Amino acid sequence: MDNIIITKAINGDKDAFITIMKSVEAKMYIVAKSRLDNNEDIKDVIQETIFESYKNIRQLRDIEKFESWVLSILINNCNKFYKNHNNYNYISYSENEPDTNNQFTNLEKNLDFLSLLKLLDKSEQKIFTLFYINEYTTPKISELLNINENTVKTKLRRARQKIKEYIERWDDYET
Amino acid sequence: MKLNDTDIDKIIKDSIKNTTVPKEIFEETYEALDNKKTNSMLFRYLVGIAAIIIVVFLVITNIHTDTTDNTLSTPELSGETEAELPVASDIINTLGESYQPTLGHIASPSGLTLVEEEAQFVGVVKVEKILGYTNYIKGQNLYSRTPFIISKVSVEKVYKGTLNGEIEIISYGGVISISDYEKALQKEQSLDSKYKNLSPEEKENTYIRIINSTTMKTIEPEVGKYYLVFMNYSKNLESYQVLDDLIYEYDINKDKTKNTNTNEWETYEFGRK
Repeated sequence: MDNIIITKAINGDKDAFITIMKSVEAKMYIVAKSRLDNNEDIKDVIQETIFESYKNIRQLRDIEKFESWVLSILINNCNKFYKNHNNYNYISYSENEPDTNNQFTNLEKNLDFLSLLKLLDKSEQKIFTLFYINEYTTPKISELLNINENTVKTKLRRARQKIKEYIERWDDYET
Repeated sequence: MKLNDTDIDKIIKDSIKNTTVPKEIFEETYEALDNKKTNSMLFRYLVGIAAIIIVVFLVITNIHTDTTDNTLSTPELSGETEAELPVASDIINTLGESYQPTLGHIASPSGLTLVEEEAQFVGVVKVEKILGYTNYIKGQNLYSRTPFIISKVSVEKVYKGTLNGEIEIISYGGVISISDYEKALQKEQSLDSKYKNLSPEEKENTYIRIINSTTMKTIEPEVGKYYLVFMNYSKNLESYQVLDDLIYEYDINKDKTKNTNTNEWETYEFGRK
């Protein structure tokens, strides 16, 4: 990302701010979608994050860390949202309806990140997202999730293996 | 086509760029940024004025206060409180009546091939919270003599199905009021004599646990514990429901499930015949 644009954004240039936000939109959406089911809730949390980032960007000390800074704000807002909406009627099932077709054909060869996440179990999804989206190292993930670093590496390896098998099977299926 | 680790990493990183982002989520927010900044400044200004007024008010009222000690006690911090779950004061045994598990009591999940095929979801969940108990079946607008436990769980491991994240599930067990139990009785059935003469209010506030000799073996989920579950989506209950008593305590460190008869830890293998 262009450090000059980030610097302009820090100095209050709204267009520069929007430009740098656009560069992290995909990652923000992936992080929010992996934590919240409902699109309206995702929109609320992302909006809140963008507003907070805009308001506080002057506090950003290291412009190289802009992306991880924004994603941290987003994760905190997702956690806050869960805490404030922790009631019986909250959970939406729209994303969790039973898959009546074979999981393999249902996903098709849709190689966007969220589709790849569906191949993984929950603990793998968390680690996978922290590694590829937040770009945390395995020691950092181990510290964050309070699990052994070898467990992190094993789960990452397993996740990659699942994705590899899926793609290779799909290619065999197509030919 | 065989892929190596570098290929896979590239595919994963490209998949981030391939993710379709609903533009409306972001565009509206960018348009509102100017207003937000203005509103934010206005908001801070108003908060500042309000703070000054409050301080002045407190100073004025304190001047006229008498000298008796009116120290306020520090209010207790209120955090999130768990919903208070009712506690049963009695047990009603419905052996031979109403609920009979379709599959009979199955102590071990090993080798349940037919169930694995039937179930829409097979996997491990962690119980985050017990939301409550009910015996009301919404989709049929009637009450069941067998209550259900509603739990909020996080999906930890998937053998079959596509669930993820936090969901609510329903399993057999729990506690209901005499009043709700009475609603489930057929015309020819009646309450035990010890409850018949209770007032409506007493019936509302007296809770009972319902058992059938086989449901004595049913595991009731506990917060913080992991369970292997076999579930289908129930349209009547509008929730994923554990099939019969096919819920087994799971040790996430040992990757083993508990036999509900022997309490021994066993290895579970999905798809093993």
